[in-house]
Amino acid sequence: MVGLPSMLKEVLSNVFKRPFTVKYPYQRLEPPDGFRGRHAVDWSKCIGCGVCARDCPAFAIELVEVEGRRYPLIDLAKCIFCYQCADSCPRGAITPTKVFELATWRKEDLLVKPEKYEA
Amino acid sequence: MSAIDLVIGPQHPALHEPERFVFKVEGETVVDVEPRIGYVHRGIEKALENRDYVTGLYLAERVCGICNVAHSLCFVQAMEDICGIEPPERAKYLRVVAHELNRIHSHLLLLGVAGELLGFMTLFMLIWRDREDVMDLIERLTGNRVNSAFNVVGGVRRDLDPKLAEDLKKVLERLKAKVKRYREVFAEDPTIRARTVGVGLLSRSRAIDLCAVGPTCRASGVKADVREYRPYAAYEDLDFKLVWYEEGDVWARLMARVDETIEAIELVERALEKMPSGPVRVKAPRTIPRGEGFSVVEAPRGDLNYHVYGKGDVKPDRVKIRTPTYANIPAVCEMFKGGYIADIPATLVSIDPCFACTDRVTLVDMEKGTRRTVSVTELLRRR
Repeated sequence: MVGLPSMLKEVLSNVFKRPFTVKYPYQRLEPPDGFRGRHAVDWSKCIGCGVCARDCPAFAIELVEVEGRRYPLIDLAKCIFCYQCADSCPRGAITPTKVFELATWRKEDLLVKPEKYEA
Repeated sequence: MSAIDLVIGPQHPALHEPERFVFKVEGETVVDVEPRIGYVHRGIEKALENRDYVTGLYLAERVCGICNVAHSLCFVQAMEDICGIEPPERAKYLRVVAHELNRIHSHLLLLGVAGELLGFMTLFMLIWRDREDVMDLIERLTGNRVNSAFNVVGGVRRDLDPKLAEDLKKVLERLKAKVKRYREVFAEDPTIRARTVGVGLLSRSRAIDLCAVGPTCRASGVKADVREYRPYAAYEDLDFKLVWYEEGDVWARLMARVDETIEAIELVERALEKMPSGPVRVKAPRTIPRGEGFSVVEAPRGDLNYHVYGKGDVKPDRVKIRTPTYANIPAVCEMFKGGYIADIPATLVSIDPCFACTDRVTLVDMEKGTRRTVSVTELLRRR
């Protein structure tokens, strides 16, 4: 039996609709609350225990010494954004932000580093 | 007429992942097929032995990107089995919600891909457009579109806020109407029926013999679903209805998935309705005692097993994973036989192959060229 394809109606109605996609760099979609993007670290809360570095599945966190104290240095190039570090942190110093556009020319931009840290 | 070899893969436009099939063809008819799996072997089982349970969970989740909730759920259930931890009631319901949302997006993905392979691009575009709504919901629930990092030992990581619960109901209501429309299209469209009805037949007895799992066996009339015969999380209270078809062809396998998508949407709705309040997580130890834990969940492609051996340390002694596509490979080889070359992509897509999952374990003897399948009963017997 050959008739009109049953999806013809949907096809025609979609011709006159706005595209479902958005023109990304010009029109942005805000990620939802709780989105796991770039890390924000409250350095005053950090006690330098190193649990985040121990529990990181991607080995993205290493502890560095700044002015005699240990702080985590997060390498976003290795990070898989699971936020186990925030889960493990006893002081809740690591929180997610909605920043997801992390492409950059320089690798150093991908480090979440303690204040006054110099590589 | 003598048979000639037709080699498809490891790189081929009809395959989405690298895998090699050598088809013996006589004219247009496939008489035999020899699969060669193992091109994307990543050594995850070995890697899991060198990681503690906390970080290993994220690795297990990455066995398969599409069914990641099933993998993490299965792994944490196996660990909870060893420790004897019972997650809170609310966590069990939240696990069902995440798991079923995962199933909806996985099935919609497959149905879209099936549409594309059958030459029905419109269906592919429309289904993938609607899948995006589910991805947004998953992102709001778990914090990421794909890799959810939602399940942990002793519960789940995030609670569901009432606003999102409302939106979930609203969006899924809309999606259900759309999926019902796609069901009509899959059931009646002459193009789809011409390409799928009677293609890639797998009889009920062969499906049982070859240990087919998931929608592949349910489309051949085998009523086996882990959610029914061994309910986990909160499925016992959710009044789950098993979907099955008798035909055993590509059409039945696609229809089983459309119906399962509708059932999954209804399961989420029921779970949201019945969800109790309370905590979502209990404290779990870092060290898992000596012992064995076993867990089966119904992943979108079929039953997924995790068998974890604890040695009283932060690291497991051994983790054994059996993924659904691996169990379906003997069945899909049976389906190819007697079919046409042109039906190969349609037959292959009907089992929803996920070769990257499959290649974590390979029991291929290269010299002899033999393969061995480990069945669920065999796994249970070794316990």
